[in-house]
Amino acid sequence: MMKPAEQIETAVAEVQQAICATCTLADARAGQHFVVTGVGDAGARVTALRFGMAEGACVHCTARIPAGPIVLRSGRQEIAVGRELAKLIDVRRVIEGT
Amino acid sequence: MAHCAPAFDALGIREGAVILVGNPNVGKSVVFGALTGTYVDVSNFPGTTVEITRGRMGGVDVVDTPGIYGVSSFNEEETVARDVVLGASRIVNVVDAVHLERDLFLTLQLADMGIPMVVALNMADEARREGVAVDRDLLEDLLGVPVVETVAVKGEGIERLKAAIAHARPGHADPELYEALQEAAAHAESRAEGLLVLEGDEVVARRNAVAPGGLRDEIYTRRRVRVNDLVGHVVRAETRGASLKAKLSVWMMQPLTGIPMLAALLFVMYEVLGVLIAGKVVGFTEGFMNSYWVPLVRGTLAHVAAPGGTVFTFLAGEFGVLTMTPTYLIGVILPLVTGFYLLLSLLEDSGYLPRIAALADRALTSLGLNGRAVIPLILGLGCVTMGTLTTRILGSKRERFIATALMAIAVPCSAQIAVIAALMTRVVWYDSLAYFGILIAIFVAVGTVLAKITPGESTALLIDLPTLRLPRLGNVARKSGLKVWNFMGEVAGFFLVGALLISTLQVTGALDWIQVIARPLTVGWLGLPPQAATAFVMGFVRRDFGAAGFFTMHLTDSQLLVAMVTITLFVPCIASVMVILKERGWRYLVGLVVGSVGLAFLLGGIVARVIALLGGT
Repeated sequence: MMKPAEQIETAVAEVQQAICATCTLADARAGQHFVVTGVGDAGARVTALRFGMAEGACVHCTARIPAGPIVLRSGRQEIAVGRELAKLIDVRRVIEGT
Repeated sequence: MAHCAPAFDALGIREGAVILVGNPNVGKSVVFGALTGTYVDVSNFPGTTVEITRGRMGGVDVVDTPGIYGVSSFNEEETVARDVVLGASRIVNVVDAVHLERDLFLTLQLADMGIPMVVALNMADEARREGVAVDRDLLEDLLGVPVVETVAVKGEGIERLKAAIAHARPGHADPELYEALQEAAAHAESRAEGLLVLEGDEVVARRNAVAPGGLRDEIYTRRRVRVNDLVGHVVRAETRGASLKAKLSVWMMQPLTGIPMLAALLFVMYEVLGVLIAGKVVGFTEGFMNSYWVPLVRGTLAHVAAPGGTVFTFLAGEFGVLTMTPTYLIGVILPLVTGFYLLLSLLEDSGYLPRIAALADRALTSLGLNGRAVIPLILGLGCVTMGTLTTRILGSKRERFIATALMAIAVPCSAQIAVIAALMTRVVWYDSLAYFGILIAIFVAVGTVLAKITPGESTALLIDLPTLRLPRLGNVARKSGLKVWNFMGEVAGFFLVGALLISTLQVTGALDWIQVIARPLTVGWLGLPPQAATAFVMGFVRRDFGAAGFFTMHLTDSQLLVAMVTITLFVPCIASVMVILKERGWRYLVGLVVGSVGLAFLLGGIVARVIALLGGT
């Protein structure tokens, strides 16, 4: 039997997973919107800043290639991010209309 | 401004030159063409393979730099652009009006550097079509430099841009950064160099004998905030539903739709390069050289040197520098390379290549590469030499190592494919199928093994997907023309060396000797006639040349399959060998040659044995 505190923790984790409140870009699905909260790779950070997709930027996932890159759009800029790199980019899901 | 400008001295650029700087795919080369007219000079930046294009506008030098997203030292293009920018006294910064969020990042960095500049707000027509309205006047006020709207492909705004260059001035820098820069500049050559030192650029820091600063993240983040603020003020964009372009873009990257599209592209490339150019056009041009040029040279030379003598053989023999060299250069290489660069420029300008990279990323990751590697690999299908040169766009040494080896071993070039396709018409269908099957299996096997044994880390894909657009034929022709000219200049020397080498083998009788020595290998192991040795030696000069060597031999179906597999896997041609030597060094080259020759003969022999077991002819 889990302790109540553990149960709450598990429940919170499940809910977070469900709405993807805190997750990495690797979890993104086409059509979802995100705010970038952290870029874990120094080289990618520079590129992200140059493309306007670093911390604080609102991005839109336009495609998720099966087992491949995540395609992001911010304004009129579109980039493809390899899956491994996407795992190092923290994002917060923004639900449309909230 | 007192500039230390080693790049300028090295290139012979005069003081007061106008330097064009901008992101990739913003039409910078078109602006360059519109400013300078037809005469341009393309040269490699000293010590690199990066091209610098120069032209004249009135009495002033104009220099085009490689497309970059920012000034720093993350790759060779940036290093070259950085050095040219650091020597600049005035800059034309070309920006894509549709993608200001991205492009103004470089613009603000140039403003922080304090170099006088003018901004060309290019693709103004496309922006209007896309529903993007840019307030030019406000942008000019906020940046503090002249901003000129241009549509370079139509020549619009070019005269105004020329006039504005006289009014180039330093843009508004980040005020707080400016304070810090005043101090940094005291320790560096200039404010521009001071900025790069603060941004942690190790090369510039070393040059100024100071420690690199640790402020890159902070400066970049502040700059990003300023760009977003600027864009928020000057750009009014309508949001539109998913257009056909956006859908097409996704279809190109999703395997279900993307793979058939890629297959169709490769088929068209093969039809144009392998069938039309390598077959029909080369058939004509090579025939022309062989029936007019070669007899002319031999006839003329016969007056001075005795036919059959050493001098005659070197100059006008089977592999002569005056006969074989121009025949192959003009008759074979020129049409192929022209066709190839035309197709490649079309692909580049359309924006399709980065989408193929996204599509192929998954498959290439298991070979230790990332999607970006499709660009050199596709180039390698045209010519392994060009593919090898292009491996410099890959992010790590490990990836360049793997991609170069894959191309040299398992990617047949277009000329070779053409000859092999002709050979294939003679064999039964399942032998053709076996050939492609073996080649694909080798490609995957070599890649998988190299991914395991090559040290280092591969980088992940992070690639800009430019807007899809219909290429402009004028621009495509101009760009490919320049590249062809450059390429021909580069391979001419390699060919000369190759021809001299083979002639030496012929004159000294080494060629016959090699046939005897190689007998156990060619006849015993591969089950081919002894003359096959000559084909393999010829394969060193050119891959298709080697394959063509088998053309005149009377081989059975099984022998043909063995010959095709062996010659495909065999060493790359002289030109690629030279480029590999230049790019990767001699250790790598020796390893590659030994590895590919070993693999070629090993597999050729195995195929021969398997066929014998299956009771083939």
